[in-house]
Amino acid sequence: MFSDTVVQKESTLLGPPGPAEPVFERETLSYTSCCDRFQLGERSFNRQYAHIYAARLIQMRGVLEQRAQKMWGEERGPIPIRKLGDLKIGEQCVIVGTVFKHMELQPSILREISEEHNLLPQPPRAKYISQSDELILEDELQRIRLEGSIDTAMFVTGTVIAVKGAERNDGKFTVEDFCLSDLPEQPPRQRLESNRFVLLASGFSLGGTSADSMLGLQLLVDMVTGHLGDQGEQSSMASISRILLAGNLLSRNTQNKDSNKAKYLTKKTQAGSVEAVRLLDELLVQLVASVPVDVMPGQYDPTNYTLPQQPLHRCMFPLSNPYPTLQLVTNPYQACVDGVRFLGTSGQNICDIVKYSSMDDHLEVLERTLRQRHLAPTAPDTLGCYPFYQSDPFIVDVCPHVYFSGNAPCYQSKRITGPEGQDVLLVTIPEFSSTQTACLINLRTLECEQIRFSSFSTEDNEETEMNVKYLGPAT
Amino acid sequence: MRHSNHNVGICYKNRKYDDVIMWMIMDGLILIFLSCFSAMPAKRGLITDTFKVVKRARTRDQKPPSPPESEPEIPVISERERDLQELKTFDLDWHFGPCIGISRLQRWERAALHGLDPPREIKELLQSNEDDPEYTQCLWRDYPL
Repeated sequence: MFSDTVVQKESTLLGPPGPAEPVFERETLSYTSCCDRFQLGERSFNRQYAHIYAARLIQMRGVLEQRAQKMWGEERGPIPIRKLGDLKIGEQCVIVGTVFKHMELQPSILREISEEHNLLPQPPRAKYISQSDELILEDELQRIRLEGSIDTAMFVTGTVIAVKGAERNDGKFTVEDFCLSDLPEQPPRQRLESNRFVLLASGFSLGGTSADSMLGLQLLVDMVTGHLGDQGEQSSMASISRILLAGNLLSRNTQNKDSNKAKYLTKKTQAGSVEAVRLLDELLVQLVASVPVDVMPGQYDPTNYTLPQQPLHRCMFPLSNPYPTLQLVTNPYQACVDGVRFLGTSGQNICDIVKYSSMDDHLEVLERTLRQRHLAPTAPDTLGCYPFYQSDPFIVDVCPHVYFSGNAPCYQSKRITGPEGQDVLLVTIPEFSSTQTACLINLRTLECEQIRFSSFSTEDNEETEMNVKYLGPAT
Repeated sequence: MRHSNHNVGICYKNRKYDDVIMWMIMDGLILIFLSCFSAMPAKRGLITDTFKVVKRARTRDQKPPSPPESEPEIPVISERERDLQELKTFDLDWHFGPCIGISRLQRWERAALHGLDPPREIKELLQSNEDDPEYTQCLWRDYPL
């Protein structure tokens, strides 16, 4: 744990300054970026999304058929695996396909157009699930309605699963059991001698309306760069050898939403993001002078909206650009840091699944996406996505050691193990602007710990507010 | 009704005899139908009668219109046509995924990447005719998305 390594040395702060200040060398790590699969070469939008679903099913089918045989085929020989076209009524078999969840409440542009004459557009909701939702399984040629022991609300459109059951007379499929593809193979991790840490943070929300997080942010920067604490603490900070910023570094408010404003009115106003990016550059330059930093874009950052988000452009950071330690990376991010594989996103995929399923907990959703081997199953249905045709880059084909998502409401972490002994650390990185929290991962032990920078005042305010609320109705 | 005879005349000149028979029957049907229709307001509930009449007219005719004789096909197919036929069957093979929006070679390579064993000859065909859109693009190349 990081907190165990931080020990204050006596009297280095209170004593007189020595003749020579000690210098703590920062640990350097071997680092290989594996983001190539998320880099877009040509950008052609002339294709339909049918290709990505087709590629996904082709890629996942083999894995799922194996899993299904392993799970259900033990007792009396192999269980038949059928295409939907070859189903026989009443025969127990396994079918593999992509889930489509039919949702009454799902916003639809067609409905809005058809109803625009007399009705308002549908209001945005926190969740779009309802009792009337139905699951439909699609393979290459056909689709069939699923019923029986399958929890409709848990699933989202785009997940590839295998289900066991039988077709009924009315053309529906009665499900007895289902299986996900579960964790892929994991390369072995290197044994490290010393503790080395990677710091993860997300959601700085620069340029927002509230400036509360600026103090915490500066504390974070000063701590990492060794400007805080005594010599004992500073030496332990030198073991933080990499920083990963997982998106939403700019606030949502920096985006210009009111596009219907007349052009001549906006001519002289400066975009809100300009100031925020300058602020970010000033923060980054302090960090990159001392430690390698990976910067992922997020939902509100100035890059493309559709996944995979491409790196922020270097020319936006004139101050920190000259440092080779500044790494601007893609949004689904994959890298190998000292033999530890990192994989994760800025959190759009998780937020989208929360909207379209009954799951609320970001950590639960995160685990589920890894178990179904797909980073963003709801893309391209409800999540923006580039129309890939050759293969689906969001399929997790190598199991990471650390799997994270950014911009979660709170910090959570969990170790999970896979069927072949895979060992994965799941982390939800909290939004820094609201929680003032970052996380530290020990690369040697794969333990994770949160580190909070909240000043007393914010918590006190919350408490007093709570008190006021509590007292209100009583008086 | 006025121009129906005129129509038949044109048909007679341009089409084969069987076709003309069919046209005449069609015109006859329309005539009967229209006459019933125009007579309808006089009597009530005659729409069923109308249909009966139509049916009777059809059965009375006894001679069902035969389909036009198909032209005897030329047995010799050029090499190009055979190639294109082969490429068309490749397009229509659903195992290799959708074909609209990507070139045939891209589709072939995707299938090869995922181990679906697309036929080798198709790739050779595509590579030897790289400049001909009839070869490189899929069957529905002219349709917009």
